[in-house]
Amino acid sequence: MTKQQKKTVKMILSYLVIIVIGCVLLFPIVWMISAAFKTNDEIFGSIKLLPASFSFENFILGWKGAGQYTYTTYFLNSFLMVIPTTLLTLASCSLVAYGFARFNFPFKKQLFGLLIATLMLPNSVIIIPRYVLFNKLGWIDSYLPFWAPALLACYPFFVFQMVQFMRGIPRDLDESACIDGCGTFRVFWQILLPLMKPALFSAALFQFLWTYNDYFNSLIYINSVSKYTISLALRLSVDAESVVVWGRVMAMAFIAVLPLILLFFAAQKYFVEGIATSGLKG
Amino acid sequence: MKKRIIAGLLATSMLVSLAGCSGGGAASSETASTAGTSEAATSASTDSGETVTLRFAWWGGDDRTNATMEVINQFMAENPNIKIEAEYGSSDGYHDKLATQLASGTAADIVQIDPEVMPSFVATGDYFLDYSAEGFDLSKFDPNYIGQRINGNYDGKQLGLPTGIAGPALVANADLAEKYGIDFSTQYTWDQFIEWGKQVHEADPDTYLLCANKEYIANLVFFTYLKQKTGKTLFDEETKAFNYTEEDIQNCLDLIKSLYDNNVCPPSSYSSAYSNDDLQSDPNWIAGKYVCTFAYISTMNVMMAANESANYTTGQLPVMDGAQDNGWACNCPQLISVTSSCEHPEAAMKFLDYFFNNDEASKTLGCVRSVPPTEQARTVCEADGSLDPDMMEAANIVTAYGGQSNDKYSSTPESKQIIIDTIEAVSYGTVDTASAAADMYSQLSNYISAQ
Amino acid sequence: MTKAKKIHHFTKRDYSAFIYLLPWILGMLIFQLYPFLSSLVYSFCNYKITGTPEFCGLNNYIQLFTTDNEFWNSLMVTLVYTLYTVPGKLVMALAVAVFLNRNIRGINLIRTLYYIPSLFGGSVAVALLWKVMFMDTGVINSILNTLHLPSVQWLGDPSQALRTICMLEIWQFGSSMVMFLAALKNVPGDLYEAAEIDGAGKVRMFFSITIPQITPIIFFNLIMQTIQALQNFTSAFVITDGGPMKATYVLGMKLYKEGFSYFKMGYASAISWIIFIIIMVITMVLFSSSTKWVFYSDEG
Repeated sequence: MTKQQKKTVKMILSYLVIIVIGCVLLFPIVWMISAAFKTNDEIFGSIKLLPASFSFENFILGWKGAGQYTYTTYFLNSFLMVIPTTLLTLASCSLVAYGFARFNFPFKKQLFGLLIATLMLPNSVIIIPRYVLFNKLGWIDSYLPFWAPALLACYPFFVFQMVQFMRGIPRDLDESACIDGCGTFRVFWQILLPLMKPALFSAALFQFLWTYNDYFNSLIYINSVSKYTISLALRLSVDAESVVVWGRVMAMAFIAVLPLILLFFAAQKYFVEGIATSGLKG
Repeated sequence: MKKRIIAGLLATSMLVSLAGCSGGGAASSETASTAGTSEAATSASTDSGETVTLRFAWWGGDDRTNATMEVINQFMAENPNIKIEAEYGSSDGYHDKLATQLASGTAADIVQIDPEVMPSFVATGDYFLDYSAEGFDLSKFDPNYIGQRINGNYDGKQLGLPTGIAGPALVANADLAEKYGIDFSTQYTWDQFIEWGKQVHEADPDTYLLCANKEYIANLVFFTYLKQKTGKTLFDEETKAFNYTEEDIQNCLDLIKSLYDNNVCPPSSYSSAYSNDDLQSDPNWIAGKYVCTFAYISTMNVMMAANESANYTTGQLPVMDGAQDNGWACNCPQLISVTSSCEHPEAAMKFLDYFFNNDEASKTLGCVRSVPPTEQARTVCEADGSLDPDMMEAANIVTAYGGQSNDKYSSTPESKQIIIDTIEAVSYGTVDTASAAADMYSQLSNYISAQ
Repeated sequence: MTKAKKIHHFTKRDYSAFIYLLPWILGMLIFQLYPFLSSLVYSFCNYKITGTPEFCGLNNYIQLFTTDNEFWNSLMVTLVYTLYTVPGKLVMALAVAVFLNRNIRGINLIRTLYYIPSLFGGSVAVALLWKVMFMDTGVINSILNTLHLPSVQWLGDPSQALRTICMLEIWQFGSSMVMFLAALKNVPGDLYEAAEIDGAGKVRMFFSITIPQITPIIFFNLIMQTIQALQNFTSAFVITDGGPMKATYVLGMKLYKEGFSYFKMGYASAISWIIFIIIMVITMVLFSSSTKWVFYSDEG
């Protein structure tokens, strides 16, 4: 076998493995899409993958929804809630992470411990006092309970993540900049941030995804149907006391995940983009 | 360096716990002040002429949402100075949110509430207005019906009104019942029911007489059978004492065990995938492999719709020979209450008067919240064709049984969970009924002593 | 850190860190301190959500450890769940990330497809999906049957249900995978070039270069997945409702039920502080072990 042939065989094998694993991972999703075309009987009673007939009725009626608003409203609301939250999280958490990763200051370890500790208490018991707090601030039934904590870096997960990434970047880089007379903020802005692109894009993706999918917090803080987000809307039709058209629920669940798929597809080239190795060698 | 992080974590936790001591006062005073504002708000009243806004929160599926929205729009067209903002959603988390809102005085003005959750709200605060004190016209309601605690009457105060009549209902596959020669139209006993179950499963091992999961067995078999046997509910509401002996409970668990052992209903390992209200997604139900199920009036057409090829009827429910009480009792599907944080109680009452007493509204609502609660609404709906005949028949059957409803302690989610867990253990055969009964008895004792 | 650095005199530059920390310090004081402390106070109170908290000393904790049979079961279930899902997710995520970290045609699309399972979260659709796939007459069993294998009661058998739930958790390995992908791209290429010149094989390069280089992110994922696994209850909640026979009744779910179904917020707070302590102990162990295996480039 020539080297070229070897390479081809290896390539074919790679694709084969990718496809096999991919099938296992994606089978449930394919099932879900096909369920969007099925009747309830077919969903529960039959194990056939393909629906008996293809009709987009579930998508059309599902989009229209029940009550006053359609999914157009719910989508716009979701974006209005999620995009500022994501951008604010990136800005605040990267600054705080810079503080922790590149400075040596009094009580550093204690403060970092405190940061991690706020992740450790289960959310369920904090809901009520936090609700009381946001209510006092007059923020109930708005997106401020999502935006304001993002502005003030109350997502320790991302701070920790960015600290870990920054610590993976050799300090020589900023020190050489310091010699050039660069201020600390300029080091952050001009040297670290560009190197952190993978971390920033993955953090953005997660924050977008988690806020977008968050049911419980949206439920608690938002009252008006006109402000409902996708995650609230998806459950509107699911009720034990009425006949649930599951095909419609599946259709909307699939539509709801589309923006996330597009976002991932668009963002991935940034978070898998390697840092400029030439810069490291310098 | 890592040691320092650990020290940091420790120091942090200490800081948090130290500061905790001083935090308590603030927390309780805050609760007190919110309660204060909600009381102050109650005294405020509608300024005539100005537009007032009311929030109305409920849960439900698409049909309920659409019908209720239509009633709201009809009302707003007639009353341009009252604006009603709908806050509808899924039942998922509805009461979590409501509890949070009640505690902070931010609940909607008009709220739909699960009657089994209501007692714990009423016990912990003055959260709801008394319909009678607000001058609401209750004349169309049957006083005996709304006089029951489950229907919103707490110590003479009408804190909620029932949205309809609900209760257990038999849903039977008429063709299968006929095939096996089972007659649900006349009264039968539990023993007879078990005999039928054996017969059905022997004739066809894929078929069971009763479609049920542990929650349904607890809600419908456990409570009912014990009421039939003793004529009493689980706890005495006044003294919080047990009305049943351990032997009574064991006796009932024996009955439940024989339902499973004789294949009257499918094994728990099968039905656990369709727990709570998921029975309608049991593929064997959809395929018509059950003769009947004990459902609720409010869910019976969901069960019927799940298998469109079958021909469903309703019928009688089992009663033991020499029963002290028929056991099967009406209950209330949901309550509608006006919260005490409502700033415009007159407007809220005006809307609810339309909601409950207006013929047009009754027609629009039909059976989206079970069979309508007043005779007048039922007549209007029947004439209009919006009354579901099966639901009405089931309501008549259960009303005729006239059993007593559960006491307020036994139907809370916490006590029900104890019962459901015991039934599950019996159904999996991991305990014998004697020790299961002893265990349930001691857990329920712990529970009731904390109330 | 060397001993000399211990008597460190902080410079003006060091203090300027607080400017960067300011958002978080404010956020901490405004949004996090009060809820945190009140939950601690509630854990010593008899507190129904809609009522007023009444101090009851250590009662909640005593009840938890003595009369509550469910607690020990839930604790065990949670630990088993964590032991299955954390390594499972990390190994799966790392393997897939390494595998997808190559330049072949269509890799962008493939990565996206692999990430899709993680995009759904715990939505109603996923709950239904898993129920229908794993029910007795579901797709999985019929595949097993065509392969002449016996059916498995995925959700109905108390000894199996927890494993089924763990499988769902592991299936959503995407977020760790993304983090690993980003970390892999950060490994300086010249290290591999040097190793190649030394004649190192692919496997050796993986263990002696790749793994050490990405230890900060392995560590991060390990900590985060552990914290999350010890608190998480979404899949158990929506798919098995904690059953059968409490086999999937994780602590997070017990806490949620006590708090929001039974409205016993004081008791729920006590459970959550126990969870807090468990997580803290485990995290501290992990942090102290990290000196031995986590390598930060900024330490040289």
